[in-house]
Amino acid sequence: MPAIQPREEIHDVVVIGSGAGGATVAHVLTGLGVRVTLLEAGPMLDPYREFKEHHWPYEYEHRGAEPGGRRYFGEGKPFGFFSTTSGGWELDGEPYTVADDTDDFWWFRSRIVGGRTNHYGRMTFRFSDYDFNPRDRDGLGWNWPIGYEDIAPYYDRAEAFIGVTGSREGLRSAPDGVFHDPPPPKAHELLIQRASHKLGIPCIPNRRAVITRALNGRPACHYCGQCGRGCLTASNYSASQVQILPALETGRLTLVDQAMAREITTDGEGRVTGVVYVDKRTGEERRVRSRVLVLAASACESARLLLNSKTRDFSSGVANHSGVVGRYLMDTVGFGLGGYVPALERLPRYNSDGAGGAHLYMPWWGWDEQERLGFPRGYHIEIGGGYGMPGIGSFGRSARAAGYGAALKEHARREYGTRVSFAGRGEMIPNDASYCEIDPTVVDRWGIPVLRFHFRWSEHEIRQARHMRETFLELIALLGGEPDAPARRDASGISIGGSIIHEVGTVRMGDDPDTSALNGFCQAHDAPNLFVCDGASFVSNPDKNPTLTINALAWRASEYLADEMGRGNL
Amino acid sequence: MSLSRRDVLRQLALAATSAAGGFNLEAAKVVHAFVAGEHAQPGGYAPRFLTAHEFATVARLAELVVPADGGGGSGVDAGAPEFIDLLCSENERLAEIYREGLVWLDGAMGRRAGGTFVGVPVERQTAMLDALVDAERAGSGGDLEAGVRFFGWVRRMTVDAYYTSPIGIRDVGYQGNRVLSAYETPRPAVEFIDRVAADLGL
Repeated sequence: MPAIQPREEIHDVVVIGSGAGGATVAHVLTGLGVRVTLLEAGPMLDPYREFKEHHWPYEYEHRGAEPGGRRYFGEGKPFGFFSTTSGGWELDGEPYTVADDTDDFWWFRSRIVGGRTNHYGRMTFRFSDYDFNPRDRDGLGWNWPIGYEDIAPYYDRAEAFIGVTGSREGLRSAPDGVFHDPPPPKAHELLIQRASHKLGIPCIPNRRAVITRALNGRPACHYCGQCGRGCLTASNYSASQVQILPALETGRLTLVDQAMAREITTDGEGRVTGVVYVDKRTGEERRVRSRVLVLAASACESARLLLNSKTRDFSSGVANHSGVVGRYLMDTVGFGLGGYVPALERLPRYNSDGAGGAHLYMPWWGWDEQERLGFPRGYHIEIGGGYGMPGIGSFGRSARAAGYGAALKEHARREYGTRVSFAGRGEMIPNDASYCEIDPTVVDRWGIPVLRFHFRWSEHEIRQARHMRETFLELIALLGGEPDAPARRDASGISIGGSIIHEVGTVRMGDDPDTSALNGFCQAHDAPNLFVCDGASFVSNPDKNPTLTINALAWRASEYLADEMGRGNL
Repeated sequence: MSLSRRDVLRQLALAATSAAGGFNLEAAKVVHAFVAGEHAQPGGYAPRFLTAHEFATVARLAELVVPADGGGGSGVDAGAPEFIDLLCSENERLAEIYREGLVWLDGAMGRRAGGTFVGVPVERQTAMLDALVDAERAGSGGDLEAGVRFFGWVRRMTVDAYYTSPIGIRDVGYQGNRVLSAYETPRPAVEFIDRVAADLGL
């Protein structure tokens, strides 16, 4: 009996990737009544099996050093044994390459439902109004096709839904949003705040995606400080718990996990028809057809997918008539410096865990004095300190300083809680030397051609990192502290590209289809039924960590998409 | 408000069940597993990798590196020898570091004092560790180089085992890993900061 081929189902919307962008699209579209099929390259997340929230190191024979003490050899999970499942810079069978003649670049890949929102720092900052027209201000980079007023309502919606702590400050560089009450400052932060004010730098309640009152069935934060381990009560934002699970409950979301997208298919006339993916459980290739395709696989992964999809109608890759796909890759400028503050030695011990991460931060203060500063754009400062849960490596410094014996124990008691740290997070300006392309020879374990990276910091970023270093040294000096030796080096201590995990810009938006791939709604100029809703659409990478803007742009694109579908335009 | 660990688990389970339908069973299972783990007490330990003599030497080192004092127990009380033995049994690189290092230590002690490390009086043992620490600080180990490297491993892992144990965590005074209904920085800590800031001219 001949097999009867069933007619292939055509899905309304297929989304690739379930992080901040893809999960927002799934949540908003299913809420608007649209059926969504979501492909995720990793497995479903099981918080109750995987999260190590509230576990003590002594509950494990290896104490957190991981089996065989992998941690001692620089191996193991990138953020430590207790951190939530997310991904890493090195994945088995999924290589990438870096061109010989450029700076190094590390590419973090998350392979799990919720993507990097599982592990991220949850810093939640709006872009400023001036961040959308940077070229008008200093002649560098490019302007966005949208302005603050276009995205502001979607910042409102995203903040109200995911929940963000903060306070109203009226600072132009850090626009106020829809906030939950912030927790009060920790003791060491009160001291740092005084030093900060002495330098004329604002130091304000942090803006993090943590809720301090119940929201949509999620209980308020219980102040264990362990956001990075995954939160069993979903009192912080992770896309899997806050968006994917509720979207699944609508019955309109179909989640296909372990699905590694290989190639986009088209009809030969400029419309996308679906995607071919590898079912990682079986290794089989499958095809899914859709009316609309949304890429949210992460900036570089989405660019890779477009560039790997060379069709009759898109000879240089889908949606790449402009040739900008893969180009203008940006990360965040990172520079860190810690120090020992003897003044904190006699601070009465208390539980400083708090809401996970710092309760204060320093937004950029020099936006109206760039000429005097000698570098364009800016950075904010994240601060660390307090009495963390002891773990592997916590007292290595005391051990080396004190030798052994009773002196070592005394040193550890004295030193505990006396360390502070500053991390600068600054804006990188897009440049021609920083991009990704398809490597002509290397493929991954499924035979999919991999990315080859080119990356170069310019003098702008180097000068900015130098300024960070000077500022941190001033802060530590005001605290009467001693800066750590390793980071005393000059701006050569600038982060390695990709190490801050803020890659954006590889499928940028713009008004001109010759110099951009997407319009202001994240819709491909060349293929109207294709959207890119991760950080790839960014035209610039302000010092505001990108997640909230990914949420807001995806929210805006989703409402537009649903509207266009309703009108019969998609 | 602070609560016991048991209360933490109870609250988490409660919170999780109220957060979304369908999780109740899973949450309950997890909490059950936590509590079961809490009751598990290690019995007598049979080394998996180290010989009895090697284990005794590591234990002596652990007592010297982190001795018992008024503020807490010793590296042995914290399970450092078991921790080191376990990881050696799982990792050939560590196994080699310890096996060769312990041979070096007994050999060096034999040349200095005519006995194994555990076989000589405590003053001889501390004299050896003092020599290793001095060599480490001088930045060149000379003929103690291998010993300096090995002692670095023993010290690092003993310190880790101690400060990740209940007694070590209590020793430094970590007070967190709790479920709180609100966060506050206690008044004495805030007042302390006010005084320190004044001293610093801030």
